[in-house]
Amino acid sequence: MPFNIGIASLVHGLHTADTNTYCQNDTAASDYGKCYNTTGKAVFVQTDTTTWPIDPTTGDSFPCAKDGTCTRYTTTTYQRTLATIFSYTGKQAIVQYIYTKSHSVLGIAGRITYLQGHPIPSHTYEGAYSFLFPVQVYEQTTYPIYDPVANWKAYLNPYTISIGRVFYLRWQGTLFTPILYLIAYENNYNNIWYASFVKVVYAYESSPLAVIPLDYDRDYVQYQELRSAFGFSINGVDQPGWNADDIVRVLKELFPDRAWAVFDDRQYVLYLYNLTPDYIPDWLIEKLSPTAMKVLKAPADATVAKAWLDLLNERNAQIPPQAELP
Amino acid sequence: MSGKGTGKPDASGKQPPGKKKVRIRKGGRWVEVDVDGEVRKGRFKYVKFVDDDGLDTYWISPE
Repeated sequence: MPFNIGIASLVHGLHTADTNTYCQNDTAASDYGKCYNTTGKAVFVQTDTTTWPIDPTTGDSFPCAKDGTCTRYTTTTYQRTLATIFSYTGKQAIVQYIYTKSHSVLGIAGRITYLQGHPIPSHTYEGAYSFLFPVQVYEQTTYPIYDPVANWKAYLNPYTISIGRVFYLRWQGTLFTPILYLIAYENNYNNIWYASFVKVVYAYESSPLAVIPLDYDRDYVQYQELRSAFGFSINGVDQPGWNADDIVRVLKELFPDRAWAVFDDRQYVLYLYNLTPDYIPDWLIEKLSPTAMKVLKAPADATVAKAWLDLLNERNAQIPPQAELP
Repeated sequence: MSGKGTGKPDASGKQPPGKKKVRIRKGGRWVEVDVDGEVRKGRFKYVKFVDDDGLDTYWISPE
């Protein structure tokens, strides 16, 4: 098939089904620094390390960081890159759809995504002060909003949360880019929190794929060999390369003790390393429809294969948590 | 060593006993293989055998 579809779901404290995720940022409140009803970790910017120090031996003492409901930053930024959604050196993807839902307090500027320095939606107004929202003037206008030029729709406070505001934004269109980031504008504010759920759908040319969830900063970007062999995707699957043999060779060299798979899109063969078909999720089979699976190396240790499967499922969570299903 | 477990004929040219034979479409041709097992993944069923390259292989079943 000429194109593959890539889907990235990014959870930062919020899932699409969550309705009352919030954090306490009133410094006078007894529960200051606590986050409630999160899925994953919200972001809390709290720079005062005298009250809640970061102790390298015990971890962060900030309440929500301590109980695992937030990622606490002790420095604020103008804009923070939360994730690299994909990075396809020498290839392009076609971004087709972006859906964002966010809960946040006022005082956070901005837009959510950048591609090569151009924001989506492609407004240039810099004065916005609400997280995941493109233009300040729209925040002060009647909702819901439809911008026929940029073709995006926005909705403010379709429901209320205990603290903060709710934003929805949906954009649909066609944009070509080799790289896409998830960025939050903090506008150098302190004592702010935000939680978001973002879904991005894009297409890319059919290619051999490296199926291995990687950390962009730690595992991928500094390795020229990887970047020469295949692109990065946050979902760990839509990582197109040029040649399946090259991908196998590089992965064998760099990750001999991890589990990974390589999909040859010409032969429709899925090569498994430190894996057997038992560990291949059905959704991956549905997506790739391989004619054959070949075991390059059976897992000597099942935990290696299980770690690959767990991380792959986590990065590709397309369904809400069981508790939220009807 | 006999062909038991490899899916291939032993020195006498006989197929190992108890192996199910399945015809698969491979390289544009129908090929008969001795299968070691079956795996169902989603809507698809794969048959297991040792391919010519010596790798454990799971091929989509035509059935």
